[in-house]
Amino acid sequence: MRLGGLILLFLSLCLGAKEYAVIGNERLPNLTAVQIKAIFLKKLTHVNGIHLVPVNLPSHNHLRKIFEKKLLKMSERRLKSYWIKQHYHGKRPPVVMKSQESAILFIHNVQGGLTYIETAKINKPVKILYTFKEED
Amino acid sequence: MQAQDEYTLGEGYQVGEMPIYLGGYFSLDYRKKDEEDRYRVDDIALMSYGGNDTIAYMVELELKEFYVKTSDDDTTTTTRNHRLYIERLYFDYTMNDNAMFRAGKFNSPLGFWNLMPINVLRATTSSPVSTQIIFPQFTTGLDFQYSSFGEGELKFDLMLQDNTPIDDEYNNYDVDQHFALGVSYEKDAYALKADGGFFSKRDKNTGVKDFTYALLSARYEADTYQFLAEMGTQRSKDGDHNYAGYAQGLYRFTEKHIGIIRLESYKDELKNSNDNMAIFAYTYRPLYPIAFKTEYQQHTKSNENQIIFSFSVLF
Repeated sequence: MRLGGLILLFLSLCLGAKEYAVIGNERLPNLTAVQIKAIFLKKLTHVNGIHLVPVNLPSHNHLRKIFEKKLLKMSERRLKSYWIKQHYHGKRPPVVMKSQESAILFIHNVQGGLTYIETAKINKPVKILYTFKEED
Repeated sequence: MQAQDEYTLGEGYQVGEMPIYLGGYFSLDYRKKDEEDRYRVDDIALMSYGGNDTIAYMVELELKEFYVKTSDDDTTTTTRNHRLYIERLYFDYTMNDNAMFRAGKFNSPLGFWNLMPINVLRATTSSPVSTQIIFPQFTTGLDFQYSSFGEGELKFDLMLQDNTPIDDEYNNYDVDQHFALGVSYEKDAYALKADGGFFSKRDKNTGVKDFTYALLSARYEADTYQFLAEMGTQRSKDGDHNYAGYAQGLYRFTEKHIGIIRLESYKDELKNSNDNMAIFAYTYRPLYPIAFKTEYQQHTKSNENQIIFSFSVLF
């Protein structure tokens, strides 16, 4: 019984380990975590000559929270203060799309667009630039 | 370009659906010294910025010390300054993935504090002396920036000014030459910066005087606390030697309640002045772009001990 429970726990952890991806235009190269952080903080605005348009999900979105914790390594509070400080420097936060579906559509249509998404939800020809898991 | 769904305080206002934004800030403060009270409407500023993929602009106009009322045991004086100053006016051109070019009047990208100089954004109402006596706070000229993202962010700044400044009254030094080089490295929570430069100060009484300076800065930033230190030195051609530095710790008890302690030291041979001070400060931010601040300064020069309160908003 105990062994069976452990196997079930192992299987549920394996099945529940969702993989996420940062996706973008097919002309973009693979990106490092440092570059992705710089792009979403608008410190890095061009890659291979392409103007980048990072796309966020809404602030309450669970995937956005995972992305901010894993890739940006900043709390919501710090990000909020970061963007208010950037307002003084003339920089704006990334545009926000209401859902992963609308974000993918935006990425598909805009050359420099990039966003983060559950890998399983990719349904358009886009390039996976970086992958991460919640428990990495 | 999409228009914002709604206005958010501290993030500016988008003009229609154009890539043009409007914003601003103001601050009021009260200072109490042993023998002097001062009430001040210090800053009232409006700014506009915007641009496209490669070109951007920033313009900021400010009323400085709009209203100042000072009282001591015998007298009360009130001054009003309704002159509109050009605080910043520049254009940015992104040349490629790594390089950016700025032309106009801008905050000299020296150290960390000087890039976040307005009351509502900085940690305390007062600014460290090192940000006021070591280098020109503003440069009117060119700034070439080169950034590289490897393990961390490596950035170089080359500042060039060889011309009369835009609005020379709005700067700590009236300079017509300023050449400086800065290098910074940022990885995870750490950031280090080294800057050095030369400037010519114009003075109606003493003529032109040349200075060289160097500044070292370090910052560690975590979610709940921040450590920041800057140390600068300045030499004039005449042999005057100034230095100023500070170390500051900041702790966020909650999102709204913040405590700060700063230790400072400086020597200014031009003004024949030196001092050491400890600053104990508390800031309440009901929202991040709104700050109620108080601080107590303990100086080795006891007549400089003071309490300061301020209220500031970014919109």
